[in-house]
Amino acid sequence: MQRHRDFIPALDNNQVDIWQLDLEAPTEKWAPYAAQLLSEEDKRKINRLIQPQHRARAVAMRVQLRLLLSSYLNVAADALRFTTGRFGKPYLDQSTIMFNASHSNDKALVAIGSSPFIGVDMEFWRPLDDMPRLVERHFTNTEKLFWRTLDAEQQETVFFDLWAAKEAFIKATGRGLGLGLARCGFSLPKTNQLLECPSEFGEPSDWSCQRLTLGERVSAAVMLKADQCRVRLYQFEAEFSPSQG
Amino acid sequence: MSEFPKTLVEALDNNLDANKKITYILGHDSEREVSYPDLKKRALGLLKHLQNKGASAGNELIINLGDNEQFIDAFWACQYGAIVAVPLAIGTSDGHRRKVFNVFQKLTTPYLATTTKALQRLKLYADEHGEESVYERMRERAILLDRIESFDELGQRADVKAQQTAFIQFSSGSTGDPKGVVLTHHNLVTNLYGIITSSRFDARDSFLGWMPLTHDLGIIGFHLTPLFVNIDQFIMPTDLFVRRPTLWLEKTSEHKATILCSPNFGYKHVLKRFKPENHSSLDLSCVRLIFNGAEPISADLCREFNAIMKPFGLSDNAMFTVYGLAEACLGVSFPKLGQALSTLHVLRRSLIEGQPITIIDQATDQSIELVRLGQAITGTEISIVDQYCKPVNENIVGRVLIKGDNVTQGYYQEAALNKRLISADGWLDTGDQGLINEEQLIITGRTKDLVIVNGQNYYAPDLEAVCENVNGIELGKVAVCGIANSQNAIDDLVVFVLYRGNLEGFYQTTIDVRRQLAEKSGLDVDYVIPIKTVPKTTSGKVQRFALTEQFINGDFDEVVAALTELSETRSSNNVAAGTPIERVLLEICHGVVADQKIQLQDNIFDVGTSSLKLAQIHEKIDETFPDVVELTDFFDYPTIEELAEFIARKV
Repeated sequence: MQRHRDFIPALDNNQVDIWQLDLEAPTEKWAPYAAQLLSEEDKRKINRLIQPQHRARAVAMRVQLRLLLSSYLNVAADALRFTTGRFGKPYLDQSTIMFNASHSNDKALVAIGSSPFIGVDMEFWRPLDDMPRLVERHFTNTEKLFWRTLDAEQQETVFFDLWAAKEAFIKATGRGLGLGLARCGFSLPKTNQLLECPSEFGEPSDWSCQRLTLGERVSAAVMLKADQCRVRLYQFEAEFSPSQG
Repeated sequence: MSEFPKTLVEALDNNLDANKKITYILGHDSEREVSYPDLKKRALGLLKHLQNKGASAGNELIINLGDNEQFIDAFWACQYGAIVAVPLAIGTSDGHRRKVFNVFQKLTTPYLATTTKALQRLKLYADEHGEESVYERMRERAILLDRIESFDELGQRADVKAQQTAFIQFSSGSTGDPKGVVLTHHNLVTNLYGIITSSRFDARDSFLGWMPLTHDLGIIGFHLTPLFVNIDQFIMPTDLFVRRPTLWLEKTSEHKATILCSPNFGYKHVLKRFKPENHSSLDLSCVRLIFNGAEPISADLCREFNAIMKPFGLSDNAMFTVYGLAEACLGVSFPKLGQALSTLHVLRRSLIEGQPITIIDQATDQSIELVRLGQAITGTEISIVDQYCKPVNENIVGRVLIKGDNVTQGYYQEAALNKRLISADGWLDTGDQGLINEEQLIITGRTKDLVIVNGQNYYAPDLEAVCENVNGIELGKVAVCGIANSQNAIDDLVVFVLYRGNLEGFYQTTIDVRRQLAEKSGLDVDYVIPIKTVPKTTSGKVQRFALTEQFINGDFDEVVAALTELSETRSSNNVAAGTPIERVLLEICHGVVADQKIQLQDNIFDVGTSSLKLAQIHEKIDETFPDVVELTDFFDYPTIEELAEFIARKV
């Protein structure tokens, strides 16, 4: 894993850069950027968070995302304009690079590629009292049957692996939840191949899935509409001063 | 108006001008017009269908129709056939359906005007509550308006006399034993004459209303009144107003309507949604009067509404603060035309029956601002009396009595009650407490066991009976009070429950009571309070007044604060606002997404940032309201408010 982003190789169609963001930095670190970089809408959303810790994470997420994207595009971080697709997926306005982000607890992932059909999701495992009901409603029949045969420990692994893959897929399509999670199925037990999906998003074989190994008790996946999906994993560390941003 | 009509049918007969009409507003771009002469034809056409079913003069027709156009047709079919109209709100709760069954059984020869769908819902209710035999009779006597294809054949007109009953207005919110106010043509014509002359309605006016036609302000105020003046009227469905309150003002501007109305809560509802920047072309300069009645009036809210609407041309003097009640048909007292909002500050503790009030110059935390409601309109008299029924002087609090040809002869088949409420010389006890100040009526509170929520009357004993179904609440161990909230002049709905354990143990009861009243009566409870004893009179009647006084004195402030704190720790940051369903949804969202402040207008997708969170929210909603909401419904109803409304329509 590279620990620095001083050089970013060019992206091709089968390439996805995954950046890991640390959201647990001290508040002071991002505060100076926040005033300068964040839109009113960003601030409104952040202010809805109750706990200072969560607000700090949200600031860290948004500021780093801007800094990261600006380094790809070589434009000032505060000049970036975001827009959303019909179903809410965020895009960079007038840009050739595409991104998708996911955050869970104090970590975030940003996937960057050249295709708009890119999606990433990360889920820290946590107790879910309604896991069986979520499976019943949102898994395909094959997935349900398989999941029921597992012991409790495996159930947890497969649930979060599958969920991350499914979510990465619906985010990649830009359609989001409206697509229906139960309509997209994955290979088992390794959830790295799309087997079923609604026809408006092409054949399952048009899509590539890459699972990401990030640590203990966390599932993550990236989906790309491409023949293959090559992932480069980076750790993001911003070293700008606000005036340079 | 040289010859004022003596009956309702005479009024419609007189309206020959085919350019004068009712416009039914169905949506922003959808309206239907029916001229008065056409209305008459349709009414006679529908009468034929009623008569074919066997209904004849003197029989009753329950009008249980949600569609305003169908409602009005049925109402006038009754009038032409001298059939007594009995409007009942269609509603969504079990309480509404129970009322249809109760009233149907109470009436002598009832028929039912409804739709196929509503009848099906009545059948479901009957199946669940063992009322199959009543339902069978109902079905045999049901006229389904959605099945009627032609009004071509006209029914047989009856000879309608002024002393005949035109309709029975059942107490709006009652869930138990409903009381029906019997109104004759003479009652109505008398009150309409008073209303029209006191407000000087004429050919330049047009009316635009959204109150339900099952409410006196809807049917009498905003249908019969303009019809009697033979001017245009616009009727907007209440649920459309609730969904899109600003459409009320947009339509007023579009049609240049001059006369509007809304109870207190309506102004609040509009202001909640109204964004001045979205209404740059709104023009309210045509509005001459906005009737503000049917609920206690908040002067602050009137001023706020006036201030916000002033840039749109609304006159400061348009707000018309009135007093009335169904027992008077509709109107009792109106201010002088052109009178600006007129109020006084009174020390709260001086509001005692038989005592003079203490008026002070400026508001303090000990005072309450009361609104002057004008003088008795033509045909009606007002008297304020003490406990011995002796009239009292100005500025002394007493019971408000009314008398006049507009006042009902009594409630339907309630001889004992009528004897208690109407004196031998014709004075009816309104159940309100008030006084006369500067020759104007002021209402200070209520004496009878009536709770007013959103302009609807509920009888406390009925609501108590509903509460008694809650686990742990015994018969007679609960008291429901409507307590005037001095801040916004809306009655707070307060439920007192006998309970001797610790507060933690009581918490579940507060949830159960809220849920029970929400489900059975569609009511939103403000406070559920544990009490050590239920104060009762020697005859065993619950003394709600005593509890109300203690509440106003602040005796329960401590326990209310403790309970609030308890509920906040249970469901972090639960916003105590909105309808019961909205609150349940908020609680669910907060449970799943513990780290955010969530409000009614928030987009659920902003709240649940991941699909898993959204799926969990959905799962919890599905547990509470099984099979009502699909996950994809979040897209069509993305805020808690919209989703709650969607759920409310389905359950």
